[in-house]
Amino acid sequence: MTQFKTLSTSVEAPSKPAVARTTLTGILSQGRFRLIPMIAVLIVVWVVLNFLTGGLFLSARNLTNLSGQVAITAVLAAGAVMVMVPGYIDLSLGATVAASAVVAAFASTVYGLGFWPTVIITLGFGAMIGLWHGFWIAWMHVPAFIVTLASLLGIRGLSLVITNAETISPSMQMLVISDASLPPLVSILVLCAFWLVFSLLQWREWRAQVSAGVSASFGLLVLFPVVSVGIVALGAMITSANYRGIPLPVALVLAVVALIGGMLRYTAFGRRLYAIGGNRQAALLAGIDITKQITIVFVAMGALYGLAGLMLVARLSSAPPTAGQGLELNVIAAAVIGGTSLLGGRGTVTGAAVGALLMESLANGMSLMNLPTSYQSIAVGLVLLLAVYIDVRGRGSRGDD
Amino acid sequence: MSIPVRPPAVKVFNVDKRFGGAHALRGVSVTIEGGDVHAIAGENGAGKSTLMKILSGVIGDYDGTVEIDGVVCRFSSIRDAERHGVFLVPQELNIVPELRVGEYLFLNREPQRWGLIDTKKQWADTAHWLGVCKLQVSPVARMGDLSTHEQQLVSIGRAMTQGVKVLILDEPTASLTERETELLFERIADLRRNGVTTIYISHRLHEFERIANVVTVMRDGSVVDHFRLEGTRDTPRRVIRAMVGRDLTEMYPKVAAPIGGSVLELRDWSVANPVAGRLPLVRNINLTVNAGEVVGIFGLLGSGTFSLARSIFGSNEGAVTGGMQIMGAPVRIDSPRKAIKNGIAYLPAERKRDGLIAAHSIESNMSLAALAGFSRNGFIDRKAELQGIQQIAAKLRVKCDSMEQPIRQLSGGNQQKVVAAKWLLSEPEIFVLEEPTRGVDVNARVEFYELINTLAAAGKAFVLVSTDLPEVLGMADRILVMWEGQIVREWKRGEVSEEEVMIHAAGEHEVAA
Repeated sequence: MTQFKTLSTSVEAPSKPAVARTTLTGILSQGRFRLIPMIAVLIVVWVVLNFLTGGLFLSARNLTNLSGQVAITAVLAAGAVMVMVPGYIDLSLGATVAASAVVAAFASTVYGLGFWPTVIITLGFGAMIGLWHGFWIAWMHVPAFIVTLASLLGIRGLSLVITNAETISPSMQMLVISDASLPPLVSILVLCAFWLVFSLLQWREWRAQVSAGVSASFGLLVLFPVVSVGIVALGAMITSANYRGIPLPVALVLAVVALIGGMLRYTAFGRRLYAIGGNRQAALLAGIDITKQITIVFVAMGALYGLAGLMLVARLSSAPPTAGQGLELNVIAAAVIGGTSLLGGRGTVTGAAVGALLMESLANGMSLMNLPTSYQSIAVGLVLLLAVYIDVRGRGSRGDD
Repeated sequence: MSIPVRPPAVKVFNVDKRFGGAHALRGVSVTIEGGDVHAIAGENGAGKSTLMKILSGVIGDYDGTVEIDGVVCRFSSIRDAERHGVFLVPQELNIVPELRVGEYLFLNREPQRWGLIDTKKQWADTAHWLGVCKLQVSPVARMGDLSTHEQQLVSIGRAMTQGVKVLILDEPTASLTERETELLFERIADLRRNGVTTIYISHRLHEFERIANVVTVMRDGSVVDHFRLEGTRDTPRRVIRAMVGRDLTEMYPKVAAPIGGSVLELRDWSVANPVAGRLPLVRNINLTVNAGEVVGIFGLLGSGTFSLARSIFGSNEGAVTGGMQIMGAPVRIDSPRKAIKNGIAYLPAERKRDGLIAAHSIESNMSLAALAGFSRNGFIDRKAELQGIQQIAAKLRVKCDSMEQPIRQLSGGNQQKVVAAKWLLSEPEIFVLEEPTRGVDVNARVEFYELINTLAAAGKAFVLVSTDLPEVLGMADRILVMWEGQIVREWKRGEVSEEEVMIHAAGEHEVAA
């Protein structure tokens, strides 16, 4: 009984320090290390493809080409994570990105606008579609699946009406978006800055944990991530310096991943998105304004339609209104391969970017081997299935849990 | 020495089970005689649930033996156990809300004719079994439209249609009213007369004397006490002693705090029923809660106590009318967000549904309601967050491996501590507690009550809504009873007996008057 009486006085007594999990499976099962097996798979795939293509795959030239292919999927996959973490979905990508591309082409040729006005109008157009989605989903409570499916059908039709089903080309200045590269020196500086900021943030997290009395491992929290990201950054520096520097699409991916990833991980806004996806009712009762949060998410996603549309129009040098068919499913697949749950509450932007890279690497490598696209499709399908299976196994629970 | 007429219904011998490092059962042996109502008590984590999972086929991998009617069995699935006549009715019922009563009753064993469901026989059988169970529900009612009590009885009925021999009831009365509990006990007595053995798990120790004739107490994965109830008196105390390994002379360590000025005031507070044409959920309530005061509100399920609690927090089902004042200033609260801004915290009764994000870590659950306070320009200050979390976790003695552990791995009591921590971090002035100790073991309960004392001493105001009457009587400074959405009576602490409160809660005072 005395034990209970002393509770109020024992408040100041330090608690038993929480034991950090140190077993390998324990570490790997933690969210932030889920990337490791994925990157291992990616490296194996790269080595095998490089061998099968006789060294063609890992040539700087092909890597630059690959990065152009990955960029659009990766940018959208980062956005898809932001939408899927609170438990929503976006099926409209193929149509909305194509419509944004059409808008960019129209603005730059038909209306003869300059580069920046075109960019702003396209991003604005995307954001407007996003707002439309947000209105129906967050305010009118129509399921996101239906709202975006309606857009997939409706906006594709709208693009065809506007363009008379013809393909329009953008003005030449728009092609910069896919063709330009950051100069090698700038590229190296950008990558260095990227790595430094990442290292600083990891170190701050470690310091925060230590100052709160958590027995945080410096090696796991700082040393290992900083060194491994450093190696990747170094590799990217060498590759880009040897060729033409970082292609602009890759720089855009880096920027989007850093922005959305940082938002999800370091801001209260992002934390609340995870809560909404984890348990909507509990999130609501914790005072989270779900309507506002979800509206913002869809508007941001809309701006990404615009960005992806610009990248698409530059890459294709044209805006066929039928472009991007099936894009939405590739993007969702990339996010899911990267560990994002379709039910919400779980997912990382870096995972989705790696997922996009894995999928596009397979497609790229197989086309280098002159295999028809139908085989690429089969491979991607199997990878999706396997990736989710491994993830489910790794968590030791059912996938729907 | 009497010779047993038949082998024991269940004989558990030397059963041992580990989950990784945790030793859940340490060589447990229990004999459950046929036709007994065998109560099993123990704190959360004592091993009761693990043992029941083994008996009902959820866990098939263990050391030791289980005999059913003298035959050694090892069930590999729930279906396997059910084929041997062992049925588990879990606390969270596994009903299919969209199915109708008759369809659910014969789910997976539908009477068939020529490969099609014989609907005529199905409804006829349903009517028969509903009669046997003395259940007055329509065979074609949707399961989801039934009350918890009715769903439970249908689940028991389902076991009966399949020739149940051993019925395991896990916390069956946790969400029942007094009257419904009575009806359930009548059904259990009927089953007993028919030779069915019932294993009865409950935290409500005072029920044991009413329904059980044998009690087994578990602690830390072992059986620590086992006795027949005939002629025993003071069962709850003996069980508690065995459960906690010490005598709890005081279950409710209430310390009255000095009462300050009014913190929360409700005037003519009503909550409309979302179903048109029904009586309002809450009617014309006038309530004042002062600083340092614990106002206990007791009412049976459906009396509107939960609706009242939710409406204070801005999470009301129907439209609210009336006025609310906090610290003397009129406020209008229409969302949980506004409630939190006005210093209100709400511990929901349905912890899993409303309070927790089961798959997320302890730390992200804890900081959820206080994120704004931990952020600077929208960015989370991890140092402030982690320090706040560690401090509160130590204060509440949350037992966990690390703060990054998913909360679903914690015991009920520890989960509730995390929910409490979440609200303490938002630094509220008013706590609305709904069933704060539901599914929480005895030790953690007392810790909870101590926490309420500490906070009340610091001038916080409490609205304690509970269907656990001893808890309300034990912890509240004032006891209010609700019936049909109204407050029908108010007493000061110590002025009233359980019986008196119950008479009002059941509306019997109307009959008397």
